[in-house]
Order: sequence, then structure tokens, then C-alpha cells
Amino acid sequence: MTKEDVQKLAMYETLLENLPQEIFLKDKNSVYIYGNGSYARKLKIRPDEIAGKTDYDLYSKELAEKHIADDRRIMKSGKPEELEETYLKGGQEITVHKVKGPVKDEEGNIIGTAGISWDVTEHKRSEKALLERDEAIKKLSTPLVEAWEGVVLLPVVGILDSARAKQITESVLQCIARTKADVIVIDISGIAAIDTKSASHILRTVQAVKLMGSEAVITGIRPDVAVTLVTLGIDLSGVVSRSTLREGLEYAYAKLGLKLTKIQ
Amino acid sequence: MMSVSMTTVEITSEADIVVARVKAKAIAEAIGFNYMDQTRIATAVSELARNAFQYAGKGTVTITPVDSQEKRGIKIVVEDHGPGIKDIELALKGGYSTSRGLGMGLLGSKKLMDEFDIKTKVGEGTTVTIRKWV
Amino acid sequence: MITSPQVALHDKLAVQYKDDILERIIETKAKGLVLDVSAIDVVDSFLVRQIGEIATAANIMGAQVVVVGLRPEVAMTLVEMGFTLKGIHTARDLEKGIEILHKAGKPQL
Repeated sequence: MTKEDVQKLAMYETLLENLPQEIFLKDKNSVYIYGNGSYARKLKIRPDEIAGKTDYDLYSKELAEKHIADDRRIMKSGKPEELEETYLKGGQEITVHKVKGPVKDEEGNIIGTAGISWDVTEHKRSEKALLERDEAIKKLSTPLVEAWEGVVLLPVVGILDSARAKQITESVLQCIARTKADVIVIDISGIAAIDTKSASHILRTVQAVKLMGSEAVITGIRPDVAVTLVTLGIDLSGVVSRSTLREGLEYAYAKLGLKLTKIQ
Repeated sequence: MMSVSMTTVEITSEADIVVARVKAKAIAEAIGFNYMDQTRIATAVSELARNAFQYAGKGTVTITPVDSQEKRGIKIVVEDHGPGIKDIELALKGGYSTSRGLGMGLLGSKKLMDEFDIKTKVGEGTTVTIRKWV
Repeated sequence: MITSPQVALHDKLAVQYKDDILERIIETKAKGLVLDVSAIDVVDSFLVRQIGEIATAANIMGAQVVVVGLRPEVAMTLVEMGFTLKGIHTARDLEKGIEILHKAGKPQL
């Protein structure tokens, strides 16, 4: 090697070793060939300990598998990729941005991957602050009616499938939390059909309401719906139910110590 | 250029269990899960992270948003290099009286998530993978 | 006696919290305990166990316990995991909670 070559080499080495970014080189099998000082420091090992290691030696299995999958994908496509990873350790959170690309030899064959990564934690923080959260609460197609102070009525009409049941649960529970209702009367006389999943879901909602300190009453269980529930083996023993909405409301009022009387 | 993000939380103390579940909840929210699902996900992570901490002393929680053509969701992997579980079926049934918490935690997470997979080897460790779709 | 955990309770803290509460009950000879969990956004099996232990121990010491302010999503998660908090009174808010304690037959708080 000429003096110039030696100088050039020394210059490259200085460059790589002093860059704050982490730089590494891996072969076709994702085995590390080189890692610069910053990378070694991040891994808490000596730079000369990097060569020969694999991601399985340096990271958790899940992360190692991801790195190797990324390498394979990049070597196959021949295109560089930008990736992001976040680490939380001992109360510290850091987000790292990586650019990985294929390494080619003189003939153009892909012989490995090279990568550079740097800390973007601060950048992410300001990004988050700038991101505007959509504050609008989704208007659900479940109309809740306050029948009296502390009594809420929820008529359910149409097909009661899983998605709908989930929607209902959310409305019911948020409503109880918001209005502090003592009783919620869920009237299902208008439902077209019900399946096991949604029935179980409604039941769990009733239990959750109880945990929150209120009570849910189901009214309007039509004979055909009742038969379906029994056939499906749904256990309604712990659930308060009334056949008509009116009876359900009467139960609710009674619970609150109220009674409807005619004005003379 | 494509962007793929993954978050890794190291569990080495009890406080880290809280860190993991707070982070899981935040990522779930960013993916678009509603309040209920966010809590389900955070609770499942709490259970699994605690198991790793209590029975293996430490572990890692890896959270990855999943975004494919058909659906969006979250994938969480909790792995440890602890003692492993001798009989998973028994643990899930709550059969181990000495480590009832372990079984309860696994069972609880299973009920809260859409997909639940567990790989364990005695003396080597345990890896639990859970997924939930928006 | 009213207690309201405001910070994220990790395991050691939760156990310590439980011990503190039980100690205070003995000290103050409290007949009732209102556990306000409205600030807790995630309750897992460990925390449920602690709550159960607080209730059992408090009962033994002659105090009634009521858990108030359970968040909707937490209530749902507990139910889905199969926890019912059997034997523990629950109420929507402080006011209701105290009402329940009164009804439970203990005139002093």
C-alpha cells in the first residue's frame, strides 16, 4: 500500500469511529463483519467483539428475527429501507431511525448489508406534540335516553351482531360513567336476531355494569329470542329481566324509591 | 423506502411492567384501537410481563403494529429465558397451586386477545405471542 | 376511611399500599373503607388479588369495604378475564359508596 492509501484508510477509520451514528456491516448470512465505535458502545461491547456475532447474540430473539428478516428482504429487493425501532430500558425511552441497504461487490452481486442508525427520540417527541388528536367522540347509532334522573333507557333495534354488541357495550359503560345512572334499562324487543357471541357480550356488559356499582335490566326478550338464548345455552340466571319496557322502568323507579301516581 | 417500527421494552424491575403496559396502550391508541381494546391490550401485557419478571427475573416485551392489506392490528411478544413451563395445559387450567398467578395471567391474556400462542421449554424459557385486530 | 391511589401502582408499591391501608384501619379503628380506584386505568390479576386481600383483611378487622369509581373499560376487562370481585361492595362514586357503608350496618366511619 502506498503512503496515500495508508492515509486514506486512516481518514476513513477516523471518520467512521468519530461519527455519532452507529454504523455496521453484515455479510450475506447476516453475520456482523464490522461495527463502529458508536455501535459497540450502544451494545456495551468492544468494537473488536462485533465481528462474527449475529443479531441473536446481541438482541432479543424477536428483535433478532426482525433484523434478519429485514436483511433478507433488503438483499432480495436490492433496495435500501428506512426503519424505526423504539427501546425502553430502566425508565428511559429512545427511538432509533435506521437506514439499511444492500452491499454489492464489483460484479454487482449482493454480498451483505450495511446500515446506519441514529437517535431520533427528541424529534419523535415534538412530532407527537404536534400531532393533533381527533377529539370528536364517534356518534354511535345507539341512542341513550334519560328516562329519569339516574335511569337510562337504551332501545336496541335491528340485528344484534358482534360489532353491534361491542358498540352497545361501549355506549352503556361510558354512559354509566358519565351520567352516574343507577339503572340502565336495555330494551331488546326490536332486535331482529341474536347470536351466541353477542348474547355473551351483552351478558358480560350487565356484569360489568354491576361491577361499576349500577344495575342493568334487560327488557323485551321476545319468545323467539328467549328460545334462541336457551338453545344457545346462555345462562340468564344472574340477569334481571322483565318482559316489557314498562315493567323494566317500574323496576328501575322502584329501585330509586320512586313511584308513578296519577295526578288527581 | 418503507418504514417498519418495533418497540422493545426490557423488563428488569416491577416498574418496567407498568412501563410496558403504558407503552402498549399508547401504541394501541395510535393504531386506532378504542378505549376498551386499549385497556384489554394493556392488561394482557401487564399479566405477561409480570409472569416474565416473577418467574424468570427478567424478559423483553416487543410491540409491533401490524398493517397488512386486509387488517390493522397489534402484535406483542413477551419472551424470557426463565425456567419454562412444564405443563402448559395444567397451568392454563390453574393447576399449579404454587404458581397460580402464572396460569391466571396466561389465561387472562388469552381471553382478552384475538390470538394467543405460547412456546416454552423447561430450562430455556417462554415466549408468548399475542395479537389483536382493530 | 377513604383512600384513593393516584399514581401507577406497580407491584411493590401496591403491596406496600395495601399494608399501609390495613395499618391505618387498625390505628384509626375505622369501621369502613372506601377504596377509590377511579384513577386506575389498568387492573390486572395481581391488583385484583391485592384488592381482594384488602377486603378480606379489613372485614376481619371489622371494617366494611366498598370499591368506588371502577372505570368502564376496567370493569369490562375484569369481567372478560373472569373476575367478579365476589363479596366486595362496589359503588359508582364516593357518595354512593358511603351510602352503602351506612346501609351495611356500621353507623361509624
